[in-house]
Amino acid sequence: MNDDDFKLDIEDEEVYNLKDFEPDGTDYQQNKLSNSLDLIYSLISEEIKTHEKNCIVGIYLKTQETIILKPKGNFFRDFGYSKTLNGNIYVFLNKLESLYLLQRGNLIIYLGNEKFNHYLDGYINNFNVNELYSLNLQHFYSFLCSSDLKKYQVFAYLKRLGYLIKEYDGLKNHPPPIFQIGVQDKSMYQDIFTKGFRDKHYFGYKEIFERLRVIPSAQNFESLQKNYESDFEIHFNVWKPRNNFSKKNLPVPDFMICMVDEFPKINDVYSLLNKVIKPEKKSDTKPKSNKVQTRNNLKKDKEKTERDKERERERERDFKLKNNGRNVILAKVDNGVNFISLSEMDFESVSLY
Amino acid sequence: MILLPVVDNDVLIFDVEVVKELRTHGILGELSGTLASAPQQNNLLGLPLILTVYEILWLVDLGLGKLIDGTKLPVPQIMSPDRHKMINTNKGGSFYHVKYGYTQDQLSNEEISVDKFRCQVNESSYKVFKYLKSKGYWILPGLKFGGTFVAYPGDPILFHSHLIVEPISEVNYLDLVVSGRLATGVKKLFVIGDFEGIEDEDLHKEIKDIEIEGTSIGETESRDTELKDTELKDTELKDTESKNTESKNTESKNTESKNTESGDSISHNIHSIFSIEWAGFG
Repeated sequence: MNDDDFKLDIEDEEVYNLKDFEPDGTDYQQNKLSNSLDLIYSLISEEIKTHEKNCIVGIYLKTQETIILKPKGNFFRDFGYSKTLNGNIYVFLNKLESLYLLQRGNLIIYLGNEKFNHYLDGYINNFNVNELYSLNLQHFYSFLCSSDLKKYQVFAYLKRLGYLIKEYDGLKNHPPPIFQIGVQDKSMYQDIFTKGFRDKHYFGYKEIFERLRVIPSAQNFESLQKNYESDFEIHFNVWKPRNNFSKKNLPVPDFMICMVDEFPKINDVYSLLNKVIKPEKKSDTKPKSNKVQTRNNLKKDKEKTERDKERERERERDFKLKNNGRNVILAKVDNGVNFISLSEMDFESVSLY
Repeated sequence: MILLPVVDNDVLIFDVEVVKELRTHGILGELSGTLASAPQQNNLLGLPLILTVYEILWLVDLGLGKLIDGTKLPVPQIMSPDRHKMINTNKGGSFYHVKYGYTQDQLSNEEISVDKFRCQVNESSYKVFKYLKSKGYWILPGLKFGGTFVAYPGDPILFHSHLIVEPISEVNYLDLVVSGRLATGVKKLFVIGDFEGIEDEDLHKEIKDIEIEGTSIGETESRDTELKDTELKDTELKDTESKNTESKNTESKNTESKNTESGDSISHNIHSIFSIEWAGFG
């Protein structure tokens, strides 16, 4: 968010200089190595500090949530949910969100105690935050179990890139996707004996063959007809950075992320896809190019060969094939975060032949 | 002895000094936190350092580290904002500080058994890890290259990795082809290995043997680091050669006779390390 952050240019420093093939025992190489290491050590030991004006104060409760007394700043566009207690509106953050802000130096977290709970319940009118213990990073990390930690790594990775993230909360805020049997009937058998086939006159074999669907294929959303049992869960809804984002009225997520240890079996994939919020229909129309119709451009268009046009059609077709269905992204933590995108292919409505 | 605080199934390091010390043993871990000075990027991350299961086991088995309960931390300090404020002369106003964590002597002394980590690992993977470590390689998890590990000839910060490593039990013929091709494409060697039939004690003996030879794994504290580095280099050279089927017969000219002997004895005992390459006939 801060422009200065990007100007730090870590890549320009010796940290990410071209690597060598193997140690050659020279002093030059030794120096290079120790310089890089020193730079990294100095960067990672840099203190986390917050200007008092930007600082948010939170109190970690026994419910494993952090209550924010006075929320401010841009982070609350997607972070937390608000709740009214005794006439006051507070924002509650979950562990991942709290830790992200704590580590970034935007939040100070105190450990709540009995007295503070009484204050929240309305038994005490006044409460001074300075009476509480403050938590450092190690303390807060010790509240996280291993699966939380993995989730946090994925969460923080995407947050650092600027994405908006909420934990997946089922399909309740969105219309459930429905499976509709396609316009064309499925099997050849049905084709021949249904009315649709017979209410037309055919004047050649070619037309008949075109009308017959000889290759049966699975349809998008077909897995919704059945309930699949699986341990795989979707963990995050992710949105690209956007202006009109509202926590109360969540738009359809751009990506949905599932944390995995092992690649899912086919039943798990179906179960995951059934939990995916139905993506908004992507418009087929391409953004119109702003090319001015000059004589030169027209000439170029004419010069476009048949082959070029065909290639373009193929590209469009492949795009449709991949993007018409549902999509889920699998994330695995193994020396950094690795993402794999898994999409339903639309062989039914896109004709390849 | 390095204290390794355990939280659930992870070991998290919050002390830069410990990170430095681990690196002298060739233990890299994974930096995972947001960097205070550059919070919107993922190229270089900050504390805490998360250790992999293999690294934890290796540290404990060689007596370099001790697992302790990481959830039992000292009582947090009362932080009145004034005490932690720092006046910034440039812009004015004060700053709050958030500390990373505790130093080694502040941590609890309650030891935790290593068993819960041992049952998480694939045993042959761990043996391969130990073997490569004893050969002086630096090891990182290898999912990005389709293996269990990737092995580097030196600190990964400066050197490219040479090997993609996978225990044989995880490999079928299809994997051989796929990974072998991939490895050739990224100019690495695909190495598969296993220690079936070799008892853990023997492996320890192997590592001990190499220790005597001078790679000083396990004893690094007392040794001069410069000495260590050069000697590591020697064994590495020899090692890559013994793995490289084509150059099996060529001998490294510079290695002393003593080194070659012990090198031979290693290759006699541990014969199940293979390298996969596309043979360039014709």
